[in-house]
This record gives sequence, structure tokens and C-alpha cells, in this order.
Amino acid sequence: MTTTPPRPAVEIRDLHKSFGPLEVLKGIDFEVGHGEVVCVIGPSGSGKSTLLRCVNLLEEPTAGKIWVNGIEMTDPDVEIDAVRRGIGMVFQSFNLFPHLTVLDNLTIAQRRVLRRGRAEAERVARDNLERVGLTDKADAFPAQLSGGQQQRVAIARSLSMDAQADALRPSRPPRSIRNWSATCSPSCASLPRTA
Amino acid sequence: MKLRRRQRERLSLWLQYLAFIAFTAVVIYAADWGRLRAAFFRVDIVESMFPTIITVALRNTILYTLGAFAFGVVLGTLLALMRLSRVAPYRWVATAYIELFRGLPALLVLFLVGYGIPIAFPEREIPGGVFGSIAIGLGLTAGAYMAETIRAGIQAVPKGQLEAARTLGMSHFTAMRTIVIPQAFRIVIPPLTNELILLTKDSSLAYVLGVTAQTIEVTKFGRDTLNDRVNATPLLVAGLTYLAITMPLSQVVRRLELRYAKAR
Repeated sequence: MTTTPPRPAVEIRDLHKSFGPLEVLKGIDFEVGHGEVVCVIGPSGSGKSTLLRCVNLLEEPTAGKIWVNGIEMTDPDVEIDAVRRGIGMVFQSFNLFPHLTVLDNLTIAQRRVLRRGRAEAERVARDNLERVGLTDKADAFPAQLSGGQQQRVAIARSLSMDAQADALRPSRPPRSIRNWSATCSPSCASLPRTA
Repeated sequence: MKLRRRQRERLSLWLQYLAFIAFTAVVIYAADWGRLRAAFFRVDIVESMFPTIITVALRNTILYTLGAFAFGVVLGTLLALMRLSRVAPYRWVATAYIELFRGLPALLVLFLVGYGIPIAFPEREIPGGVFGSIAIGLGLTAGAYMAETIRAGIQAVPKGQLEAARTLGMSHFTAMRTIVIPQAFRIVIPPLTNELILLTKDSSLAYVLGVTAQTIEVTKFGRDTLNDRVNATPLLVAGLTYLAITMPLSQVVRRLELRYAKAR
């Protein structure tokens, strides 16, 4: 491990985003430290989701710069697929893959993106299902779950993508995950994985 | 005479039953059954058609249909993706193709593949002989229809699915292949079934390519037997043979949809 001065997990400078004539984000500046939990609160339509979607470039910012774990997302040459792996995101409507079982929802990206073998991907997936308390739903389809259960699967899916967070897990009590998801559920929530 | 509303309704119902039964009885009575049977159901002719109608004609009908369907699905998927592409020339080509081939009669396209191409390129041969020509000829038209169906299916998959997949780090291609397209195909099962049933019947156009005893399909077989025996029975048998595959097909698809309903 090198000892570079710690950069914030997320750093946003003068972020602007317009949809046509509608300016949603008018110069946002903020940073989130490692391990910090931040809630973005505001009335509907105020740009909370747009802000979070900008962080992993689901929306292209009109102007401004964004760094995640020290990598500039707004750099035109950024390897976007690679950087997105390090950013977890639970969507407002969860966006689970309805044609796959819960277990496959958790393993498909591990296998296709991280190139993990089936056994390892399933082990990670089952670990994360256990953390969110849904071990018994591994073979269910998303449509068979309640909204809250779907949300927990979405969180487990997001967590399944990172080996480093995997190693850190014992130090982070599962309850914090639940609190976090409860607090941020009205909008989509995003957190850097290498926290 | 005064009747209550309930009684009036019941009376009307009975009168309609009666009228229906009377009409049916008249039709049954008026029909010349002996003549009908002689024209449409000569048991000796039915027997003479078996087993060839199954072992050769039906087999070929199924082969031609599946060949054209497979070719059409591949072509249709490709065209659908081209229509949704960010590359403008791809969209133009796909749109032009779809407009063109949807507007041409399948018969004309079949002639084109069966006779036009061999005349234009005498040194080349369409692979698979008659089977290849039919599969390609019918598939070219079917692909144009399926392209629009499949495009609609892809667009019916919520945008969030692609976003979720991309957020997990998948490339656009992987996300489309493993997340969006599998869901799109479930959505388009019913309209693609329609296309498969239409193709089953369109496979009868194969006769224009001059089929032989080995490559004959159900309709041509029925027509040939009709000419042979100067009797309409073969047409009835051919018709029932088509129903024997299209009706179970509908059942199979219904099953398939039920199985997928869980994963919606």
C-alpha cells in the first residue's frame, strides 16, 4: 500500500447539468470522505437522482469535474466500464434483472465483468445474501419478492462486485447497511466500493 | 299478457337456443351427406395418402418453415439492432430493407431467390438446394417483419435494465446480450409465434420452385393427389395436416409463456 495523501472517495467540483433549457444542477461542489455516510435530501425534482447519476456517468454532466477514488470520471479518456465496477448503485426502482433468479442477479456481473468462476461468484453472492438476510430467496425470481426484499437484493448485487469491500466486511456491522439503505431509499443511493 | 323482466329474459334465451337448434337441424337435413362424403372424405384416398403425407410432405413443410424462421430470426435481430444503432447508415440500411421487403409479395421474393439469383450468378449455387432457396426466400420477407417486432421488444425493456447492467461495469454489448435481448425475446414470443404460424402456411409457396417427390410439401402433395384422383379429399387431409401442427404449436407457446410468467 502506498501512502499517498488520502483523497476523498467522491469529489465534485462545479457540477452543472442541463436538460435542454432546464438547468437542474447549477454548480455543485462537495466531497465525501472514505467511510462517510451522506444523505442528499431535497424536494422531488430538485436533482438528487441526477446528481447521483452523474457520479457514475449515467448522465453526462454539462460542465464540472467529478473524481471517484481519485479517478476523474469526467475525463473523456476514462475507462468507464472499469471505473463503474468500483461504484455501487442501488436504483430507485432497484432494476433487478427480472429474467434471472436472485442468485443469478448477483453472479452475472461478477462472472461477465470480473471473470470470476461460478463457484466463487456464488460464494460471494450467498455471503451477501446472508448479510441482507435473504439466504432463502436465492432461487426466487425478483417478481416473487416484496419491494423491500427487492431492494435488499439490489444492495447485495451491488456489494457482490467488489473483492476489497469483501475483505473489509467483518469490520462493518450488517446493521449499518440496513440503516444506510433505509435512509437513502427514497432516492437512488451510491457509494464507492473501496471505502 | 304481462311478464316479469326475469321471465322475459328467460323466454328470449330459450327462443334463441331453439332458433339455433332449428337452423343446425335444417343444415344437417338439407346437406347431401353421401355426396359430401364422396367428394371430401373418400377413405381409400385418405389411406393412399399415408404415410407419405407425414413422412415426406409434413416433414418438408416443417423443415422449410423452421429453416425460414431461423434465417428470419437471425436477420430480424440484426436489422432490429441496426435500426436502434447510433450509427446512422446502419439505421438507413435497416429501414430501407424493412420497407422494401415488407412491401414485396413473398411469392415474388421466392421467385427472385429461386430463379433470379441463379440467372444472375450462374456460377454460384444457393447452399442447400430447394431447402436453402425456400429458407432464404421466405426468411428474407419474414426477417423484415420480425425486425420490427424485435425492435419493439427491445424498446419495451425498461431503460433502467441497461443502466443497471452498465452500472455493474458491463460493456454495452455484454449488457445487451445478457440482460436486454433475453428479456426482449420473452416479450416477443407471442408475435413471433404468429410469424411462425404464418410461415408454416407460406411454406406452401415452395411449389413455385418446382419441388420433386422428395422435396414436396403438404399443399403441393394435396394438390397433386387431387389431380390424380379427381377428388377433393386430399385438400381436406392437407388442411387437417396443417392444423395438426399449428394447433399444438399454440399450446406449446402457451406453456412457454406460463413458464416465463414467473420471471416477469
